Amino acid sequence: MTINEIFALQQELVSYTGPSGCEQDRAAFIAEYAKPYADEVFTDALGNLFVHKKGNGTRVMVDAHMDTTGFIADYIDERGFVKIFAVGGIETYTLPGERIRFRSGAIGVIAAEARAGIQNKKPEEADIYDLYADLGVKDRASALSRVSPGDPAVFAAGPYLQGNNMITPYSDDLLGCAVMMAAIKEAASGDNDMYYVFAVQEEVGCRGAVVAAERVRPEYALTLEMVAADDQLTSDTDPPRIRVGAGPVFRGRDKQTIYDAGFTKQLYEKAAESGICCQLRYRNAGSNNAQAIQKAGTGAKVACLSIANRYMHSPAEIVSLKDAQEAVSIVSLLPALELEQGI
Amino acid sequence: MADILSLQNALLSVTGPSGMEENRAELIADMVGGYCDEVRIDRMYSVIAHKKGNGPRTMISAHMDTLGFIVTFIEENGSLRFERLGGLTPNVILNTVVRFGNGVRGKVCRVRDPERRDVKTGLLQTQDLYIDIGAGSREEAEAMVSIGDAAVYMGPAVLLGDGMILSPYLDDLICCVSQIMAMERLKDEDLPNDVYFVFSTQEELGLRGATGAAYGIDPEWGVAVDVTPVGDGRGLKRPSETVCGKGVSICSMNGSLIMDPKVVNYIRKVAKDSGIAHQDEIMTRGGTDAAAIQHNRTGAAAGGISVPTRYIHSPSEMAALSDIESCTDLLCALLRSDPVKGGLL
Repeated sequence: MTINEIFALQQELVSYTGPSGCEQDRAAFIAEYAKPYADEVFTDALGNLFVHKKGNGTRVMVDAHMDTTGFIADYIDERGFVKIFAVGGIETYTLPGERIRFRSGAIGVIAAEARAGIQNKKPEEADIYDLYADLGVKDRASALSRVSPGDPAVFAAGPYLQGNNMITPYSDDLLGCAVMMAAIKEAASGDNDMYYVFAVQEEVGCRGAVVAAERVRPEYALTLEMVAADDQLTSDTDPPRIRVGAGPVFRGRDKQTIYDAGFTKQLYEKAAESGICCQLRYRNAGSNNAQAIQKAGTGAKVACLSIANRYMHSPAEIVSLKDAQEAVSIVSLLPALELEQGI
Repeated sequence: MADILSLQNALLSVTGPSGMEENRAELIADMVGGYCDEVRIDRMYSVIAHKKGNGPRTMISAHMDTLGFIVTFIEENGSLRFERLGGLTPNVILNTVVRFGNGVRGKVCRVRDPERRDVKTGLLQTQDLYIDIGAGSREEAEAMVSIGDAAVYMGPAVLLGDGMILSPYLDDLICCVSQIMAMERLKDEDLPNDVYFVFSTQEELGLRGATGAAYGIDPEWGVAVDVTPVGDGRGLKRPSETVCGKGVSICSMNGSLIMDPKVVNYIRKVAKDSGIAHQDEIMTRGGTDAAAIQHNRTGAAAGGISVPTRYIHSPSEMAALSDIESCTDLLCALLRSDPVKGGLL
């Protein structure tokens, strides 16, 4: 798949307002996209989307999460200003001035309560209570015609393509979803029984993946995620370990998972055979759906293929679509990959 | 007749931070050429559009420069160090996507080392920030951007809520829009004022363009058109007279001058007589081109009218369309009034 095609998928995926718990619209788009290439497509009670390509071989689960971080409307005051809460990990300090989009399409600006003096606080002292969203409305009734308490909102900017790089909100993990969609479309069929899972509610604690793994009971599982790059200016690791544009990243371990070394090595070497040089990461930070899938049922052999991402969870993440393109090639190896059965 | 939103987006389509307004000057000169007798661009790139009239020399000024981010140093890894052009606040600009004149986009980021923060206060400083354009090395970055290039906030302007416009740089492009619309409306009228419409430069750095323009024009009186902060957000520290949606505001004082009460009362009377929605304004900080008019040569009568605007200097400024209309109406009414007969001069 070309870089421009991956970019077009990201554009479509970002256009849905789908923070954790509100993934339905995005799921419907993905289901429609995947149908022609799958034996069955279905959702479960939480909203996880399963794309099943049947095979007689090993049961393999590939997953990416289709929820994003975001905001939720909490309270609307007499003048129509909307108090908000964050969904998932978002840095409050930098939010004033950002445009957000509610599910109805209504645009708002995040503003700081003047009395809070957020610009005079240390970054870590800023609080979401200091902020509100301004819809530009005249009163509460007008606000309520656009936004109700409980409605989700997301960052409204981007994405932009610049060379091979993409500047966008929510490459975490919509780019993972795009990679999986591309692989569903392009992968040659094989013997393995493939379940591609677009999981919900990862950003609030891998809740979707827990039940999805219980349903699939995979023998092997590959999680597609973003990983924090550390090649930006004066970061705390010197020299940088993980660079944007230097190839997809396999994780050896992170905060909650030690990945299966054999499975990871097999994928790493297969990738190398087809000319893709991957990065390896052992830093004890971050976690993802793999920790839930690894421990489901009687356990699974897991690996994590990640794409290096600068400024994760900010309104403008920077990733390389060349890395994404190579990730598609690696995921496409899975249906025909020789894997142990009945472990 | 062009509408407010499309004019604002047209002005945003060219990059014009303070000191680099040439492209925007040419665009505006093209736009207003048909609405006046003579248009020229002066040495500081201010556009001066002269509409001849039988009356006192009158200067109307809105500034077309905007805040920006000027590149001062390119790091080995391709990150751009920058300095602020105008009053930008670190926590507001952090994480914002910006655009250079050649279309290169980047993101304002913060270095991670905590020891770079101000030791005493722990607050974030501009020197803690950089722009990431996705370049992997200094060489790669140099192919995209040079030292001295400047980036700006990105649009587009959009309409939202109940008749509001959301855009970067309403300060002061929206008043340029208002001025252009007034010129269009007045183009076939004979006015009792000899009017110089100025689209000034480098206002954000200290009214520099308007100062030179005023010297050249030597106005007897004039009005600056700018935005003014409002007191209608949440959690205000103290009350403010000026709010969005109640009309154009008439300024009595700002950080750069105190208007002659005679001028203030004259403008109020014209607004009242013409039935234009208006409100009072006192700006305790920040200056406008009105000071350049008032302090010019041996002095001139200077006033200021403003579009009340929320979140000024952020990438998302917000104002009421009705206030922008009132501002245009008041500009027209002022230029149709005779300041000599009105007792101002």
